[in-house]
Amino acid sequence: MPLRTPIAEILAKFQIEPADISRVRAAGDVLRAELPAHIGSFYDWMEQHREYKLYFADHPTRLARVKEMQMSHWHTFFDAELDERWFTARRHVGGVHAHIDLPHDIYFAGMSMSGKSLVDRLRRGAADIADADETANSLIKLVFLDTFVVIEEISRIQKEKIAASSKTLLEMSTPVTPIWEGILLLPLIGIIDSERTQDVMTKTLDRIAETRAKVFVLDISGVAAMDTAVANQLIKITKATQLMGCETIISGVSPAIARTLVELGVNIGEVRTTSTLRDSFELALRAVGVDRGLLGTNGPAKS
Amino acid sequence: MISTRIRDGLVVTAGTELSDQALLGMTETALENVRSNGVRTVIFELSALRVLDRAEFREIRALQQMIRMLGANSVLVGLRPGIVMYLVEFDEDLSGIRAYQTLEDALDALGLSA
Repeated sequence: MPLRTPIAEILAKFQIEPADISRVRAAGDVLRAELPAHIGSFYDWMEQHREYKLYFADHPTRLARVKEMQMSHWHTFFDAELDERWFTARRHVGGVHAHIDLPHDIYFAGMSMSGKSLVDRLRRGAADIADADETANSLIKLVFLDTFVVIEEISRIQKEKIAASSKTLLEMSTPVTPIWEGILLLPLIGIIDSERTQDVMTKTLDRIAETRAKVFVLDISGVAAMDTAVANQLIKITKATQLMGCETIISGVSPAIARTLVELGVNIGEVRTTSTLRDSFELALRAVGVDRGLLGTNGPAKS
Repeated sequence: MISTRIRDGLVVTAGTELSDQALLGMTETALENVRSNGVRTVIFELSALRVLDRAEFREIRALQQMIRMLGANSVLVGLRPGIVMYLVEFDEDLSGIRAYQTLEDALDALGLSA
């Protein structure tokens, strides 16, 4: 459970004071009777938006259930017990909305509509309520707080989802795989930046330590662009694997990449490179001592 | 520091870290064995080593050069990924180093296994 801002601090930030809470409670005595009409007008409003159709058109029982939940929410709202339980309940509502991917605009618009509807009813019943103007302000503060807690939970869940999927993506983008006894293969695809090369380095060295591989084939045919920085990073990786007793062969060097590297003056040193993955694989098999006879006679085409 | 003779090879095993004293011991043992006992290859077994700073690494490189000058070879065995990444990241000169993951690999490659 991550640390949250203490309730007292949130209430202070929203300028919600004990007076506000008692005013809202007092207003509740009058407005509770109005709630069925309020919820009716809310759904009249909601019906004009496409979200209504999206979420309720084919689910008549869901509509009834949601109305019931909304009724109980406004009752709780007028209880105005802003304790840990109240916050937890509102976060749960946020969780439900995050789950159905409810757009922020419709949620804010809905809460704005609800606030206005309640304040209108408050004004109409002003005769029965002491200090109706102040009460309207207090009510709006609480509506804002309520909205904030729900939206914050929605965006927290969304952030969590994004973080999880980008981690998966990074994970998927570095599949260092054993393809033969003593041989690891990593096909690099897409755009390479410093975070990725670091990830490649870590994963590769860990896999070498784990599998005791003797050859590491790094296939760069899927790499979008090559510059000096990326080339130097790749050379660092080859040096590192060398220190772990594992030779790196770089395959998939295209003529364009070869030209770029020479023009940039990158010294590839003793790194073995081939243009096709097939050639690298054959070098790798020989390096781990696979018999030439096993490789068959149809070796790589010589041209 | 422990050293073990295997045919004309000498395995020098380092502990979890390299103290000055350990380095001194490694140097004396390696050079003495190459000079007087016909050792042709010194194998530095470093798999227990948890940390290795650049100065210590350079000491090892220097020792490798001394062995070279006496006409023998040397290899490194069992460097951990963390140490390797550190050395590469700081652009240490790694040219001409022969390295293996395990002692078994090294002995096989050097023709010293039974």
